[in-house]
Amino acid sequence: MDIIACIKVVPEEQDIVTLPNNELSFDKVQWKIGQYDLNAMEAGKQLAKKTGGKMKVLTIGGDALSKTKIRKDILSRGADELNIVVTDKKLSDSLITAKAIAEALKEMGSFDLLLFGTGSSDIYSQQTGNQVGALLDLPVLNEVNAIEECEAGLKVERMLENEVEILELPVPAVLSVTSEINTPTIPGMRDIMAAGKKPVNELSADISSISEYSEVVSDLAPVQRDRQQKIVKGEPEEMVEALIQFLNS
Amino acid sequence: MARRRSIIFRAPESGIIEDNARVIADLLQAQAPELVLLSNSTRGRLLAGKLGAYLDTCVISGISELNEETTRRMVYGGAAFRTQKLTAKTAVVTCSAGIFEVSDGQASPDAAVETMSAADTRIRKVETQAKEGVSSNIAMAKKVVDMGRGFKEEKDVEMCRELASLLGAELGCSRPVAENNGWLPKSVYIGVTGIILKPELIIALCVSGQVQHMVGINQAKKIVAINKDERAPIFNSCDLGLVGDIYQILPLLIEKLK
Repeated sequence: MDIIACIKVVPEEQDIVTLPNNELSFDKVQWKIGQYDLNAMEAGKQLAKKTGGKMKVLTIGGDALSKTKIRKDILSRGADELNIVVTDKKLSDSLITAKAIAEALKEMGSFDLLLFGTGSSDIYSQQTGNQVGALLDLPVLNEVNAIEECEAGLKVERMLENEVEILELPVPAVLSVTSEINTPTIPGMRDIMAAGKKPVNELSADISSISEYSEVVSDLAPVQRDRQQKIVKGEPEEMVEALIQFLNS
Repeated sequence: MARRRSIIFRAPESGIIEDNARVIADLLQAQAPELVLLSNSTRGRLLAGKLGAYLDTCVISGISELNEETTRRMVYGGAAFRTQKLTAKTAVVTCSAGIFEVSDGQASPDAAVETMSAADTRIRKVETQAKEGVSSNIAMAKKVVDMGRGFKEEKDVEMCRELASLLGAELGCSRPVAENNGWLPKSVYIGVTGIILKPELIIALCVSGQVQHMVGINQAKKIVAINKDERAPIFNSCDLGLVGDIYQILPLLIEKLK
């Protein structure tokens, strides 16, 4: 089964600095593979191995994708090939991203399955996979917690809030996986060495004419509510007494 | 007031309701509403994404606030709230539980009800299984006991549950407790990718206070924290903080409350 995992390189949250005016500074951020995309790549790797296929990775983003380090990191996680669209276009809306992916896929040839994580770990709209599926008119599902090949194509387990659905669907298809579907493997030395030899294709997809559908007004750190910050240390009895008084006040 | 009309979509026995998206999109196209609201559930999100693509418009998901022209939602793992202006003609928005006051939920009496079904049938439902774990009303609860990763073993859940029941509270947890330990169902984990709460009281047990979790509890009226590490960031954002061993404090507290 030929699989394409679509992933996003995102800023490391811990490097984002809150400025005194509550705006965010990204000046010192390192870039990393989105946390939930690791699950998508792991699921793709496992399914490709089981079904005797290949997994390619597609990613679209800014300058961060030009760095060898991040490219190697992606390739060390089981991808056979990395496809990149480097753009200065702000992909601030999931539909823009979905359209850009659909455009890039035209250059990548046929596939049986597109895989996404449950959401990007920066914006977390949880929509890109759903929208790519709709744009390509393919069967699409989110929150998929298990995938196996079957006669009809794929048999999947999908997590709803109160129940689990077992569904069958034909390929090609588009699935977004949960963060519990697997535990991503940490690449070993051999994977890292091999990553350097794998092909990286820079695609020429033209996404400049895709229009915006919303406008980001501001990204501001949440204002902290004033708290009493009464701290009690000492014997457990005293602390429990203070707590009960607090609950009754 | 606009004409009220209710249309009920039914999924065929062997399909899923989201596969009605094309028909729903056609109806919306004809009506051209400014806003399409859906729940931020698994089904709601899939339906929203498909509608957004078919209507060629933006989807803003998991919003925590909705105003005349703008929405607010959390981004960057809780580090910021994004205010976004909807410039498209029809905006599709999914809302998390608990952001609107609950009304009595009665349908308007003069609504005309029609039933429709025209599903895309490529996805076939084989079966539905019950999910393990109890259902919870945590998003609507007035009081919440919040179990953090500092507990040692699974049976400690019982202690937390007992405290919750004595206080008339619901039991929730931080992400590692649900996802890594699997001690509580994922549906009750609190934080940026889980539930965002707005209760009267939260008692945070062994919660360190990472930003991704704090955004889920920060809107509580009162926060009580119990943690043995006095440098834990939670102590900067609580109303009452007890610095001590949960295994001494909790049994004693339960005893007293009884």
